[in-house]
Amino acid sequence: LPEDRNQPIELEANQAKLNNETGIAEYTGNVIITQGTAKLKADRVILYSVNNEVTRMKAFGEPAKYQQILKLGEQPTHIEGKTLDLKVAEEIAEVTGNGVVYKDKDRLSAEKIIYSLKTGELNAKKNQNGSQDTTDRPIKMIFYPPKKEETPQQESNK
Amino acid sequence: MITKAKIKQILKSSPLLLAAVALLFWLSFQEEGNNIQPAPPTDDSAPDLILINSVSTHYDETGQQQYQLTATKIDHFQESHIALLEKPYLINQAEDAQWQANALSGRADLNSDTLFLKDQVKIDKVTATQTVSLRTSELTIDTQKNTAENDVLTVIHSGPSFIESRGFFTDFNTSETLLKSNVRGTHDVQK
Repeated sequence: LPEDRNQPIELEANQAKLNNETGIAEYTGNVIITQGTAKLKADRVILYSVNNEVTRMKAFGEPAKYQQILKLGEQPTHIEGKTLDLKVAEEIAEVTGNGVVYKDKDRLSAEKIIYSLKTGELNAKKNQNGSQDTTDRPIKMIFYPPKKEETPQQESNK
Repeated sequence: MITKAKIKQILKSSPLLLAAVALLFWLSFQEEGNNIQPAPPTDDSAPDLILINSVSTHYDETGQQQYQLTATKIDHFQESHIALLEKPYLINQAEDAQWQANALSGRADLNSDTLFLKDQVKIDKVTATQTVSLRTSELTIDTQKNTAENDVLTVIHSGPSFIESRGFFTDFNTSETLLKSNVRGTHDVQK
């Protein structure tokens, strides 16, 4: 939700490596980071901060998982992949490695996905040229059309 | 080969280390005939040197105050080469920060060049822009390896962030801190 950004960021992990001078903190082992309705779960997360403000989170996992409710009353949007690169200011999530984005039953999978958490816009790529991974994984999309409101007439025909 | 310049550079990069080294050096200096009280027999059943409400201020070669160490009591033991400190309070002025370290008690081991601080250990690093505070029940400063470490609950406050862990390790050369286990933290974006 938009107000998620004003909520405190809670985090837990097995271990952490902090460097006050570079503003980079690396958390490893069962990493869970939450902020309002947003939740990130991964094996390893690198947090980048500038002047004590978190600017970017890079998560690695098998897969790393992120979820957030983008609009009140909606189901959470789920984003998964081997690498999740969340750019806080731009509200962009970049997924690489078996990327999946799904909400309720709608689902999209691709090797690389760039997803706007602000607008829900989505950019998917099959696999990066020159990548080692030669399995030609197509982009797969499953969308369920919203149910139409049934008019009384249609109901009585049943 | 560790040159003089290298030692100076290491000491400069780690003010807390500087204070710890100076403390150990100062205590060993005290042994050479500058005893404030008559030295008892050389077994460790009693200290050979006792200092009450001691305040010592140290300056660098340019006359700039480097650090000030106060302690309500320091007992030095000849045989084991150990000094026990009551309420040690260290203020160290580094180039870009002031370090303040205090605890209810401390133990300086002149053999292994370690300084063990115990009970209500507080370390604050105050810079122009922020204060980083560390609170724990005990920690050991190794002045040879230029590190500080413990294996107990440690809480670090830095600006809007609060993070705790069981056990931490800091390398003063790289200013990197490892939180060993059970890491829990909160970053309040509003502050």
